[in-house]
Amino acid sequence: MELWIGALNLGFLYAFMTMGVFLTFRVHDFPDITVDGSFTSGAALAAVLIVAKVHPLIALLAAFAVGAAAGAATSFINTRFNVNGLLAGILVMTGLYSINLHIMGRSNIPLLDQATFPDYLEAVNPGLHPEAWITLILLPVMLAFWLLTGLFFKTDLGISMRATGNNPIMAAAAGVDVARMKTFGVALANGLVGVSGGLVAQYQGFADIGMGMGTIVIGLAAVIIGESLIRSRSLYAKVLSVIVGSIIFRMLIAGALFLGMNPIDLKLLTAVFVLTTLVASRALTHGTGLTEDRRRWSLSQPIWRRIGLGAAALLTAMVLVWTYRTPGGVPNPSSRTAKIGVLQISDHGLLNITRDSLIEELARLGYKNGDHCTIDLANANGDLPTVNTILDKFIQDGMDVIVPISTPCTQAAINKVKDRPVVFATVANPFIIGAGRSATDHLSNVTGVYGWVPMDKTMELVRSIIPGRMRIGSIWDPAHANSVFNVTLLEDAIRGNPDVTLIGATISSSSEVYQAALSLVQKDIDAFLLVPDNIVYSAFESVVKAARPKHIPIFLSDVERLGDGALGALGYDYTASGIQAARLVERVLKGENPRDIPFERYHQLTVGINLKVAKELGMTIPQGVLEKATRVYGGDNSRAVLDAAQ
Amino acid sequence: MAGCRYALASMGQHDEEVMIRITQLHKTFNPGTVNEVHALRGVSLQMRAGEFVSLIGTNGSGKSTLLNGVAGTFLPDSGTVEIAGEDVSCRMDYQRARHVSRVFQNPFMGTAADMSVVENLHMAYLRGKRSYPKVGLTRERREVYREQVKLLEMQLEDRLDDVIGTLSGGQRQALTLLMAIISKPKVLLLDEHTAALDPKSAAQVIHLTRRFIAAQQLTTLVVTHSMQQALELGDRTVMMNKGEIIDDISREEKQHLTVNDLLDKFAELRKAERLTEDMLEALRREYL
Ligand SMILES: Nc1ncnc2c1ncn2[C@@H]1O[C@H](COP(=O)(O)OP(=O)(O)O)[C@@H](O)[C@H]1O
Ligand SMILES: [Mg+2]
Repeated sequence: MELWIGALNLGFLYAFMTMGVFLTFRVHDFPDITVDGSFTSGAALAAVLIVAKVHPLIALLAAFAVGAAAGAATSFINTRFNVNGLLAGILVMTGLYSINLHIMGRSNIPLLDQATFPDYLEAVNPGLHPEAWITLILLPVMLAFWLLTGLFFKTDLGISMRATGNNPIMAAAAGVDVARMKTFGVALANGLVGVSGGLVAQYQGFADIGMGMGTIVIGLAAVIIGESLIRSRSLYAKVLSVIVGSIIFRMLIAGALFLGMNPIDLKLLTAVFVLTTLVASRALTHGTGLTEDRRRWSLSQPIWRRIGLGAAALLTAMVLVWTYRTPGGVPNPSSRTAKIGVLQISDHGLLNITRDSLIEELARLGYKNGDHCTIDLANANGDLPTVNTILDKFIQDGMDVIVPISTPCTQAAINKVKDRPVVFATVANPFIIGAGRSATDHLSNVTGVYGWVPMDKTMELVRSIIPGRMRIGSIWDPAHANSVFNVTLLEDAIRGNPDVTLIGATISSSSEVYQAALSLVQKDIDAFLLVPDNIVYSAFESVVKAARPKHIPIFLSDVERLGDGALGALGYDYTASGIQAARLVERVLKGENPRDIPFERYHQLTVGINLKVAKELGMTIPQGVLEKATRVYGGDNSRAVLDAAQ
Repeated sequence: MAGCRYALASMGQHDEEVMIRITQLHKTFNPGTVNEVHALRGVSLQMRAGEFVSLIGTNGSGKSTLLNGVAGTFLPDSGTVEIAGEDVSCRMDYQRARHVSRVFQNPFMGTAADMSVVENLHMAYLRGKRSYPKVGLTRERREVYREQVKLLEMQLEDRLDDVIGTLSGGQRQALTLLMAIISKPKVLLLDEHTAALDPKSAAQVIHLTRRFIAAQQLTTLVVTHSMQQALELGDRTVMMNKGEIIDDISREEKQHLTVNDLLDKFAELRKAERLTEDMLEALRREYL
C-alpha cells in the first residue's frame, strides 16, 4: 500500500509543477525549460528558510516568488530582446544553477531535523499512517487548487491570458499587452513550479542542486497523459486532467517498479511514452488543415478520435510496462525469510564495488538471494523522486532492513523510513545529513558505515615523494557537498605548512575538466592532487592528457584509477564499506537494535604507486613509501601488476 | 524609433471634425538589408469623424501597412498619427485598441480559435479595459452577447459555447466584425475583410459592415480589392501606389463614377506619369 500512497502524494506535490508546465506549454504554447531550474530554486529557497526557522507556508510563498522571478526573467528575455523562448529558457535555467548554489550555499541542504510541512501535519495526526494522513490533508488542498485554477481561467484575466496564448494578434488588437501578459503567465507558471520544488524538498527531507533535472520532461509527460485520459472541453476537466496526469505519471513509475522494471529504463520509457502519445495524437487530429486549429490539439474532435487517442496512450503504457517487465522481479509475498532492500543512487564505480562486496559478504554470512533471504537490488539512476518511490516499494514489500548506498539515498531513507532498520554504506559524512550527532548518538533505527578520505595521510604521501616548496593543483565541482568537504580537509592538511600552496579550479561538468587542468598546468603547479569528486574522476583521462606534456605527477584517492596514469593513490578500499555494512546488516537481522550499534568508519586504507609513471616522470620513489604501498603497478619487472599486499 | 516624437505643433488646435490625421508617415522595413522595403513614403491623410473611406491600390502598395500604422502594430520612422486630436504616434497597438478596432483579411486572425464564442465576445468587451481576476463573464453578460449575436442572423445564438474553431470562415469573420464594434471604438479598420470568403459569405459580411457602420457612425477605413466595392462602400476612395497616396476621390465625384470611369482615372494617372504601365496592368488585372 505504501508504494501507491507514496506515489499518490508525490503526484499531488508534483501537480503544481505540472500545472505550471500546462500553463506555459498549453496556454502560452511555449515549452519552457526554465522549470528545470525554477523547481530547484523553489526547493533551495524553501529549504534555506526552513533551516532559518521560517514557517513552511511562508517558505512556500518565497518558493513561489523565486520561481516567478525566474519565469519573468525568461519571458523578459524572450519578449523584450526577441530571443527565442526555448533558448531564453535554456539561458535562465543555466544561470539558475549558479544562483541556486548561491541560495543554498552548498549543494545539499538536509531538512531532517527541521520543522517541515510533514512534521506540522504529523503533529496533529490522529493516529493514521503518516503517508495516509498526508494524503488525507492533501486531498482537500488539491480539490481547492483544482477549483481555484479552473475558476481563474474563467475570470477576465484568465480569459485574456488564454486568448494571448491562443492568438496573440487578436489579443493585441483587443488591447492586451501581449509581452506583459506572457511574462505574467510564465512567471505564474514558474511560481507554481517553485512551490512544487519547495514541497518536494520538504517531503523528501532535503533540497539538492540536481533535483530539478528533467522536470520539464516529467511535466510534459504528465500533461500529455492527463490529456489523453480526460479529453473534455470543459476548463475544469482540463485542469483536473493536469492533476490526474501528475498522479498517473507517478503511479506508472510505481507500477513499473512494482513489476520489477529496471529504473534505468524509466527515462527512456518516459521519453518513448511522450513521443508515442504526441505522434498518435498528431495522427488522429490530422486533416483539419487549419494551422491555428492544429497548433493545440483541437478540442472539437469527434468523440471517436478522443476515445482512440486515450486508448492509444493506454495501450502504449501497457505495452511498454509489459516489455520492460523483467522475470523474477516480482516479489514473493508468502516467503517469511529475511528481506533486504539495497538501493543505490546511480551506477557509479565506488557504489558498485560497495554493492558487490556487500552482496558477497552477505552470502558468506548465509544470506543469499533466493536461498535464505530475498535481496532486492534497486538503482535510481540519479533520479531523486525515484529514490522515494523505491523506498515506498521497499516498505510495501516488508523489507526487514533497508541498505542505502551513497549519501542522497541515505538522506532520503532516513527521512522516510522510521519503522524499520536502515544500514547505510559509502557515505562520506553521515553527521551533516542529520543521521546522528556522533557515532553512538544517532537516529534509533539507523546505523551504517562511513568515512572520508584522510587528506592528511594523502598529503604525507605526496610530501614523502615531493619534498620542498611546492604548488598543488586541484579540481572539483563546487556543487557537490562531498567534494567541497574534501577540499576543506585538504586545506586543513596543508594549513601550517608554508612550503605548500593550493591552487584550485572548479568545474560543473566533465567536459570542463580538461580546460581546468590546462589552466592549472599554466600556473606552474608541481603536482595534481585530486580530491574525491565523481565528475573529475570520470574525466580523469583529461587531467592525464593535460599533465603529461609538462611531466606533472598526479595523486588521487581512487586506487582503481592508478593504472590510468596517476603516480600515487591513497584511499579507502570500498569493498571494506560493503563488507562492514553486510556485517551490520547481519547483526540487525539477528535482533540487535540499530540504536545500540555505533556508526563505523571504514578502516582499510589502500596506498598505491605506479612505478611506470614514476619512470616516465623521472622520479624516484623512496623505499619507505614502496614498503608502505599495498599496491604497486608497473615497475622494472615486466609484470603488469604487483600486488604488494599479497 | 526616430519618428516617434509627439507633434507639439498640432496640439491644442484640434478640429472637432477630424478623427484621424496622418501626417507625413514614413516606414521602412528591414532597413539596411537586401530586404529593405520603403513601404510608406510620406503618407498624409485626414478623415472626418464618421467618414467612411475605402482604400485601393495594387498588391504591395502599402495599404495594409497604412492600416497597421493607424492601429499601431509598428511605430513609424517619422511622421505622426493623431486619433481624435490625440497624438498616438508613440503608442503601441494594445494602447490604441481602446479607440481602434480592426478586422483582418484572414478570418482566423481576429478570433481565438480554441475559445468559445462568448469568450471571444467577452475579450472584445474587455477591449481597452484592464482585465482583473474576477468573473466578468456572468449570466447577464451572456444574455447581452446572445442578443448581439442575433444581429448577425447566423443562428450563432445557439452556439455560444461552441469553440470558434468549429465555425465557418464567414461566421468567424462576421463575429470578428461584431467583436470589432461591440466596444464602440472611434475608428474601425477593415483590411480586405471579405477577400478570403466565398461570394455568399462575402456579401453577408459586407451587408453587416454597412449596417454596423451606419448604426454607430463609425469612422472607417476599409481596404478593398473589388472596384465595385470601392465605389459602393464609403464616402471617399483613396488610391495608393508604391507607398504614396496618388488619388483622393470625393463623395460628389464618386456618385457619378462607374467602374469604367475609375479605370479611365487610372489611365489618366498613367498619363500624368504617376503610374507606370505595368502598374496600370497590375491594377487592371487585380480589379477586373
Ligand atoms: N512586417 C513587414 N516586414 C517587412 N516587409 C513588410 C512588412 N509589412 C509589409 N511589408 C512590405 O511592405 C510593402 C507593402 O505591403 P502591404 O502594406 O502589405 O501592401 P498591400 O497594399 O498589398 O496591403 C510590401 O512590399 C511588403 O512586402
Ligand atoms: Mg494588404
